[in-house]
Amino acid sequence: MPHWSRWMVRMAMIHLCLALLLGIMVSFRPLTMRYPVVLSASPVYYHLLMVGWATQLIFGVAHWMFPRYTREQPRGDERWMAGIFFSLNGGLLLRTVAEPMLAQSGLSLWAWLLGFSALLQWLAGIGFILAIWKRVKEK
Amino acid sequence: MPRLSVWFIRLALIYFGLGFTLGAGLLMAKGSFLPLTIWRYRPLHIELLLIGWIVQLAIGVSYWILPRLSEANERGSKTPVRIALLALNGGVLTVCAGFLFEREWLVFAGRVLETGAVVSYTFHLHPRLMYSVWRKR
Ligand code: HEM
Repeated sequence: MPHWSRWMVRMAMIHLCLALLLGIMVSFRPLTMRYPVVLSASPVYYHLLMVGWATQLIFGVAHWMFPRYTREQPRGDERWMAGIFFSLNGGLLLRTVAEPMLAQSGLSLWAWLLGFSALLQWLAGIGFILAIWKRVKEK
Repeated sequence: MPRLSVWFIRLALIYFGLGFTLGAGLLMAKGSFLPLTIWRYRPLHIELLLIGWIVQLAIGVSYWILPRLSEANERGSKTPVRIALLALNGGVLTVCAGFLFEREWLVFAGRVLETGAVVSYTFHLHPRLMYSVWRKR
């Protein structure tokens, strides 16, 4: 299993744990009554699950199992995958903090960080499409 | 990878690109970098990514990788899989059109198509999974 696939599967499981923990928090009435900021993390819960876990697991496994790119470079340039890994996880973790904080405080720093997190996640997504497209082929 | 899987997976990647781009736009709008009118595309974002990306990719990869019937008959009949490909993509596009033009009946029709796609694909998959159990015995 290639290096970055291992890291992606590892991080996917961490995101899954985080998502489920957050799910508990969002649905725990005494906590949300006291700290309403927790309620505004509800979209973060969905995205830790669907981006951090499901999509990242797909990235990792596809990079490992899809047909070879070329004989010399079966999985393309590994550094590209490293970029996708950091961009996706950095972007998502930034969202995890900035989205509820912005809802709570409205400070423009959080808005900037949220915008940056959108850009990072988008770059990771487009990067993955570019990396995998040529490996989706008949064998 | 069989040709039908190539179709499923490439289409999934296209929806993924569109859905992620919309998602990034929505998040930018939350940070006030884009107008909030983009919010009307929120249901499209969810449809493209949940059904167009995740479900479609799962079908494409499982058609390729799950046990085959036999060496000669490979993966069995392609017809239900072709139906699934057409119905799933027709369904996603119909649901999206329904959200865009605010036509509830289109959303309903699209969801019926998507359900039909999954039933058709399950119909294809069933013997492949049963046969692998018999073979183990
Ligand atoms: C596989 C990928 C994704 C899936 C399945 C997905 C799914 C969803 C779902 C189910 C919702 C509704 C959540 C709720 O009601 O709280 C949602 C909303 C949203 N998504 Fe995504 N999403 C994905 C990726 C992304 C990405 C990459 C971004 C940004 C870069 C994004 C940005 C948003 C935003 C801003 C909302 C609106 C949140 C709100 O209502 O306050 N999504 N998405």
